[in-house]
Amino acid sequence: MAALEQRLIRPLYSLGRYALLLSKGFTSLGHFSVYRKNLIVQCGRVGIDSIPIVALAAAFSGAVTTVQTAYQLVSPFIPPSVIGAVVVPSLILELGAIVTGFILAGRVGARIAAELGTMRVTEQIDALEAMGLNSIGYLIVPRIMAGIIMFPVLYVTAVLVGVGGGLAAAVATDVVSTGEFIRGARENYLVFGPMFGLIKSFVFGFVITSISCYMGYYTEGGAEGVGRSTTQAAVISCVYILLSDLVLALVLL
Amino acid sequence: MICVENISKSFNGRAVLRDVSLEMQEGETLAIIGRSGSGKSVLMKHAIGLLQPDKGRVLVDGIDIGRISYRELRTVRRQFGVLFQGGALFDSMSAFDNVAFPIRTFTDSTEQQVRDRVLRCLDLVNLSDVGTKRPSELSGGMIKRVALARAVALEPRYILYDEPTSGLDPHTSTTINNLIKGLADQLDVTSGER
Ligand SMILES: Nc1ncnc2c1ncn2[C@@H]1O[C@H](COP(=O)(O)OP(=O)(O)O)[C@@H](O)[C@H]1O
Ligand SMILES: [Mg+2]
Repeated sequence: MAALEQRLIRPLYSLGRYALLLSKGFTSLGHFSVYRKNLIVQCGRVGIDSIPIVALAAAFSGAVTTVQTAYQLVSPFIPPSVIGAVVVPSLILELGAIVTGFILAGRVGARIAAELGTMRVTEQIDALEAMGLNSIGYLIVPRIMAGIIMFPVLYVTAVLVGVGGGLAAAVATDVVSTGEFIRGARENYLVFGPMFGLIKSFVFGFVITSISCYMGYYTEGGAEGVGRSTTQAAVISCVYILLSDLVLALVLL
Repeated sequence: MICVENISKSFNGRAVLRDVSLEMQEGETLAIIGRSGSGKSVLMKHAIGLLQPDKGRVLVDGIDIGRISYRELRTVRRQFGVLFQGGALFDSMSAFDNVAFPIRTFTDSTEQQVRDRVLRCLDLVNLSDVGTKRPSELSGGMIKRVALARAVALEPRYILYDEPTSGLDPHTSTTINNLIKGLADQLDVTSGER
């Protein structure tokens, strides 16, 4: 019975603490000047530093999707332009955002949790509070804002590079010409597609950074605790990315 | 004046503080002595509202810090300088920036004024030459001294020291003890030394 209660109460407790953390951070913000420098630094770490790995993953996703589509679909009865018609929307609607999301969950999520966790166990967060600063606003708000600002930038990068990778693979394997690829993409272009992808990327940016901040901020138990928070931040971020991906698809499509 | 009134605190059912009361007058230096694990750090954290007592209350200049808003609590905390047991320096910043942090955050000083102030504070703790180093490049004694410089940077009314000299060599301990005494006279502060 106690175990069951634990199971029911623990997630509610976490959810409540997570909501409180966010509301405390965003409602008692001080002057923007205090956070501006931090925000710029975080945008660099979340966004700019992630571009190479995101681009790499996107290029390969685009290339693989192209090769597989060619393998599965192209036959004497189906025109090769179908490759463009499949690859480009897949990148815009799903792959661009989800690939970026998984990479950032590992890269940015783990980093945020490790940083904040270390600050917690070495009393640096207590020191901020003791000075009279809102530690949540100071540490967490810039990280979440950086996620929300930079994730869409990374998403756009991923889509562009992914399409480039797909096109390159198509041309290299000689299954479709550049012109045919683009014609296929154009004829099946969904106007709402990029909007949907951008909405997703805002949500993913928020999900990853806020969950990782939560895990890091409430770290307990020394170096071991920091390790635990770090892995949990990456894993839980991934789970919630998948969940929010499904919810957004159901609600918006 | 800081008044701790009958506070009790337990963690996971284990009592750490039981009905503790004490009073710190303006300008007074008070030391609290106890075995390791007896609750000295826990008591200090109650004095600035980092921990909330299960029972009892803490009054700072007559204000019950358990019954005010978070915003008001932060204003109360700005009158304190706190030296944490491990120093708690921000490891993303140089020693100089650590000491400059409260000055930059809470005053409108120009960069030149910040510089002067930081160098003066580092001078107080005999560390004029470590400014550019990161905390990870400093020894334990140096970290405590930089943390001390940071704690006094805004000339707080109250300074709380958590084991300012434990684990340090006798020479550095003497330096720090003299510093604390000197600060009490020089800055006219109230200090709790643990
Ligand atoms: N956040 C906490 N959670 C659980 N137990 C704690 C916490 N903080 C302190 N304690 C316990 O309270 C006791 C007193 O700790 P502390 O005040 O750090 O001792 P010290 O007098 O050496 O500073 C210790 O037994 C410690 O394990
Ligand atoms: Mg202690």
